[in-house]
Amino acid sequence: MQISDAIIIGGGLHGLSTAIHLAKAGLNAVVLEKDHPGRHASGVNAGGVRRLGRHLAEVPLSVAAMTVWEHMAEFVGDDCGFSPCGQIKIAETESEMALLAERVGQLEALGFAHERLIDRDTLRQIVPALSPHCLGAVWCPEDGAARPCRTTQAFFRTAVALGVEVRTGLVDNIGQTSGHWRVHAEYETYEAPVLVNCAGAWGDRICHMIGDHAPLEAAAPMLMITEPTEPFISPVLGAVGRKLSFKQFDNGTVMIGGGQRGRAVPERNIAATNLAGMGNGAATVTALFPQLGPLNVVRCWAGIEAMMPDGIPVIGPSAVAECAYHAFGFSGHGFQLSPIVGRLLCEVIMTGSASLPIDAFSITRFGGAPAIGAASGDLLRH
Amino acid sequence: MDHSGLAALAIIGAGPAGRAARDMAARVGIEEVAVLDDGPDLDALVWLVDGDGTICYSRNGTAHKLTAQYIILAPGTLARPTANPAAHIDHEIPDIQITSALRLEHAWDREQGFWYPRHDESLASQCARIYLAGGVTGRMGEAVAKWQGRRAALTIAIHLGHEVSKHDLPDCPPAEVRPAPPSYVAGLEDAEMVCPCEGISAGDIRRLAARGCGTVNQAKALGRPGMGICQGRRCGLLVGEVLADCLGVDMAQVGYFRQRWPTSPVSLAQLSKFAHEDI
Ligand SMILES: Cc1cc2nc3c(=O)[nH]c(=O)nc-3n(C[C@H](O)[C@H](O)[C@H](O)COP(=O)(O)OP(=O)(O)OC[C@H]3O[C@@H](n4cnc5c(N)ncnc54)[C@H](O)[C@@H]3O)c2cc1C
Repeated sequence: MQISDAIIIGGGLHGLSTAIHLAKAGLNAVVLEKDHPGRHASGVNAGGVRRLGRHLAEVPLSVAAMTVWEHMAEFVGDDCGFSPCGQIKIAETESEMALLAERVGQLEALGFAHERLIDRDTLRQIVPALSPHCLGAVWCPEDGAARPCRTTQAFFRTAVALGVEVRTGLVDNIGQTSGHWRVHAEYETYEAPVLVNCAGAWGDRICHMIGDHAPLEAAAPMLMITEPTEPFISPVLGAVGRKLSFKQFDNGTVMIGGGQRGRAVPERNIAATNLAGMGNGAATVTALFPQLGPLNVVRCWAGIEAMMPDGIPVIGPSAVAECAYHAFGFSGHGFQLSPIVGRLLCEVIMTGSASLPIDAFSITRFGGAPAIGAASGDLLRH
Repeated sequence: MDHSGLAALAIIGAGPAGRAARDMAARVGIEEVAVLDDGPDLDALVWLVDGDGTICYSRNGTAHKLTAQYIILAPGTLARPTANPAAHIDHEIPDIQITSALRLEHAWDREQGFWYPRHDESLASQCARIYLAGGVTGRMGEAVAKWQGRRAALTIAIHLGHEVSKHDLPDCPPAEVRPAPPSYVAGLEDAEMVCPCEGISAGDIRRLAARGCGTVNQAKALGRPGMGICQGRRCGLLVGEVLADCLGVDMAQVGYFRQRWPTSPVSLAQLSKFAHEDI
């Protein structure tokens, strides 16, 4: 039997980030990971560090996360390969341009100025290689990209250095005894007053074990990488009307992603790619950059990611159980949010409320029972 | 040969096993057999195989798709890569690029020092439509390869409803026993390249092992071996061997790369022809 202050299920970025913040707050935290830390979405994603285009509920969190990314070494001792190369989302038609203008206006009304509308000429200056039919874009020059694998390593090292125990084991049973959570994983039982579900695409299974309900779909977003070519683009590029996320690395290879999906079989850790997804990704890229037609694709992969029906994550207390918390369901864009969500969850666990608005992410939106007394801080102050 | 896009049987690899399979298929009357091989005669370089029977290949720079009811995978062997390309070693290993990307289960042959995909006595792989024959199975020698090709074709013929008699196939000949290969890691200097594409040395892998990296796929994620233009063909074994040697564990424990499609490079222009395919 292992006794601690908090059990965190899932060793992805959100589990590790939560562990880091809880450890800094003085709690003894254990992370239970069925594979190895960063094995799933957190380690194989596109590395996009993007505020651009976020759901309005996510904007305050994303903006706060950005300030951590800009000084990442202060948080985890490594800059995680973050480079502020900018993120750009292009419009190809007048109506797409109007959508972008409306969006920027909406953000400005809320007091956010990070998304900038740019015209055709400015766009041409930033991405000269782009097909001339593109009319303009929204640009976040301070956004960028980082290295997922380096990031998960740095989060892992920081957690361990702060005394977090990261254990290998599949959580297959959760119960309660005298006000404590009792969690079983691989020949071992763990007990703690606090339970945190950061199980990514397996988050619904953990919900099921504690009585919560979350309509999660496990999906397999795909990415492709090409052989190296001459440098031709520096920002990460997306498009209003196409599923695209496109980036050239320093070594000249080009990564193509942004919405093509393969087949996910979470119970077998399978994220299979498919031909149509590869074809669609290639067609999108060659429409915008016709000169890339001869460039060879050398590798295609997919990761298992948790998609929620409304495209935003579940963050906050359980709807049914006391001292159980969730942070999962990041719906394809949780990498950038990883330094902030752990902090907010830690605040909720320690004080009962968070310093940024998180109500929109409550699991109760899926029709579970209303949350019972989220204030669990007293229980924990030894 | 041009394919209508549909076949009862597709044979990938026209070596001894693939040709024997083709001949047997013809003898028992399977029509619509496609043989794909990247040699100059057939010029069909396969870069994707799906468990549902889809095969993509390139011919003379143009990509094609074929859907087969059954597939015999007979890609043969390749020369054992070494750290130093000049030190060519006469040792053949199964070419598991496709079988690994298909996520078939592979076993480690400790004696011969290679991975091979598992199959049952009828040469059926874990994928219902896919059979294996020849050097890829790790059972060496031309006689065995031919027998396996015939056997796989016969099993498929039965599934397709053809009459076959037990005289069609004699017993399997004995496999050739090859001398065990030398150790490739003994005396490998830290500075020697194990993944030339990405510039990863034996020392880099040893440092990863010291940091707790325990499998080749973790090494790939952390240090990039196998992510270069050769798609892991040159370093797949060596990375594992250095890692296993360093950690003092069996190769079965460190595993092999989860290879990815396309198993051979294919251009964006050619790939884009498969947009909106419904698979
Ligand atoms: C291909 C791809 C591209 C992406 N691109 C971007 C991008 O550019 N920008 C961006 O911001 N986001 C991106 N994302 C999304 C981002 O990667 C994820 O939202 C984020 O990593 C989720 O982190 P997580 O910790 O919630 O999940 P994960 O990293 O999946 O971690 C969950 C962990 O929980 C473990 N676990 C589950 N169940 C159990 C159990 N019962 N017992 C023990 N352990 C368990 C799992 O093994 C897993 O390691 C992308 C995702 C993918 C797949």
